[in-house]
Amino acid sequence: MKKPLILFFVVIVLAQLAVPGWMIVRRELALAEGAAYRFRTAPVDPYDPFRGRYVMLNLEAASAPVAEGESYRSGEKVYALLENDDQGYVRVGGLVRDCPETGDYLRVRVSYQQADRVQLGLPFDRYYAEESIAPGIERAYWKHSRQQQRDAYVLVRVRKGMGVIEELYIEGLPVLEFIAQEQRKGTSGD
Amino acid sequence: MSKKAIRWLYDELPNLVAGQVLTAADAERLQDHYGALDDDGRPSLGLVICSILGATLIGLGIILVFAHNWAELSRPLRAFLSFAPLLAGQLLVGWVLLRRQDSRAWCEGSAVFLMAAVGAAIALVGQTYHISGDPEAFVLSWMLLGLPLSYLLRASAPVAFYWVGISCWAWMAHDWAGSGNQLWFWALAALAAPPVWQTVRRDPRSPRAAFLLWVVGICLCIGYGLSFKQGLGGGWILGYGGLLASFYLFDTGWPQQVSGWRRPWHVIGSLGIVVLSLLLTFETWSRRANWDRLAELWAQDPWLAAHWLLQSTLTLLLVGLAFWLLQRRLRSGRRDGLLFAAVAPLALVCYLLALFDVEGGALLAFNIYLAVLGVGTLRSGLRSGRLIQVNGGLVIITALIAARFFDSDLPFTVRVVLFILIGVGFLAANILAKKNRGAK
Repeated sequence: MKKPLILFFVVIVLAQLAVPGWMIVRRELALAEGAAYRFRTAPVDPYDPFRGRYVMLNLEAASAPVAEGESYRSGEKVYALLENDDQGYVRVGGLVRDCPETGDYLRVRVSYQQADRVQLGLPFDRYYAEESIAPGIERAYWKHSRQQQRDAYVLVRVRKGMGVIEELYIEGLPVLEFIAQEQRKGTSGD
Repeated sequence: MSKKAIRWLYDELPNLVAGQVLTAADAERLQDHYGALDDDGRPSLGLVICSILGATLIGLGIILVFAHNWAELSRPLRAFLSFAPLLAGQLLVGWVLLRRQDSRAWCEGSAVFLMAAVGAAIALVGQTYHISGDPEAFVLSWMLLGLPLSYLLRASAPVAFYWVGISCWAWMAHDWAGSGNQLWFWALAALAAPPVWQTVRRDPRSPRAAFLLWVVGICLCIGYGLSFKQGLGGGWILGYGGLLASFYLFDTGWPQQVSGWRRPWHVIGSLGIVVLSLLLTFETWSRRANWDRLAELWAQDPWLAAHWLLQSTLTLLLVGLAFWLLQRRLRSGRRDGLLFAAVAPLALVCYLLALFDVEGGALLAFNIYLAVLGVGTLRSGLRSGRLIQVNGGLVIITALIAARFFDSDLPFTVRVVLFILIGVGFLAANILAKKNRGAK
């Protein structure tokens, strides 16, 4: 094999490893060092042919208020400033076009603007789950997302504009633990 | 002459010499002329296809195994496992480069496997970290990381895969609001043009070249359509006229005897020209072109105007290419196919008619053009005795008549009689063409 060909092959191999590798590194850093925020959710249960079953996360924080006189193009990239409400759930306090120097923020795309609110495409709107568990997660959520009982949320780690889902919680338990607990209850009930 | 035909000839030579049709010296000269049949130099097409299919199925199987999303595995382990198919593919390609570089089947198969593995690795990392669905970014990074394999292994399958991938990307990236992202399709297409060009230049009649030209031809038609925005008015007609006429004229070096599937651009061009012309016989062509609005657009939204300018340049380039190929064809003295290629100048004339507010001019022109095209193709088929041309001509005429049925109030009985007459015409023309062929 000729030298330039080897070099070309090595470059391709490195590039192919670097892209998924870099995806992992950035997310691991966010999970390790990022600030934790709780996002309220409303999932459904679709399927991705490449990545399998997932629970669609419809996050309340995806709808944000717009300052008076401001307008955003569909697809425009903006920074969403994060703040916690009095119940400890996150909300978007405002949108800016330049990267903020302080505070936590998410880099997001504008989906569309409607009067004084804007719908954002948050960088985490899926919770992947094993095929057999996903419908159970969905059922559990619906049970726990009525007006009377709203205790499902996603814990997200945020670092330098990137948000990575750490876990989906129902009744304060990680979703898989919650499902296992429900199954145990069902068995003992029988 | 195809290898199959040469083999047949060589098998026949002893009989021809025995039957005193040829002398032994003539037979030898024929063998010298066509050369030896080199079976080992070129791989079996079946083997190459099987290797590509096998690699694709294995790659897809691996994706499905991982897509199951093994909940019991820890996150770091799943992240690590995401690299397993990728590393396997890279090792396989490395081995092929070292040991099997001369085997087309190994090169194609390993390249397809690694390309699938790249997509799998990105998708699996996405699954592990619950990354939101951004199919555009996913497809784009997958294609860009896979394309170099076609340069490295001189494989055609990754190029074809890439062309299909970037067309899907353009479909996902385009939005009628006018972001113009899909225009990057042309830059992405330019990256994959050299391997296609090299394959076609090496042997334009090879199955590899035909396969690539089919894929590229269809993808270019889709890509141009997606690049377009309403702001350019009827400009898409000009662009498609130029693109399809260029496709049609591109086959100058191909003799008529070569079958249709080995002349993909010729087939795409002729079918496309008929479909485009038929569509335009329905169009009222009321939409005006916006050439005079450029300054106004620029003041309103420079990004939109720049997008519009790029589209216009692309359209003009396609029209220019068609005219250049047309004048080359005229200079070469070949007169066949000029009727089909005439769609490019006709589209330009119709565009100017629309610019100068000539109501219905283009509509009438395309109705006449399609009728002439149908009759011309039929006549040419009858003369040469080529049934495909005869039937092609009849299909064009039938389509035009059927299309006019939709927008005219002809009585039912007249429609019935006309359809019977067309049917009789079909049979008569085929019988006549067969007779002509028999006479030759």
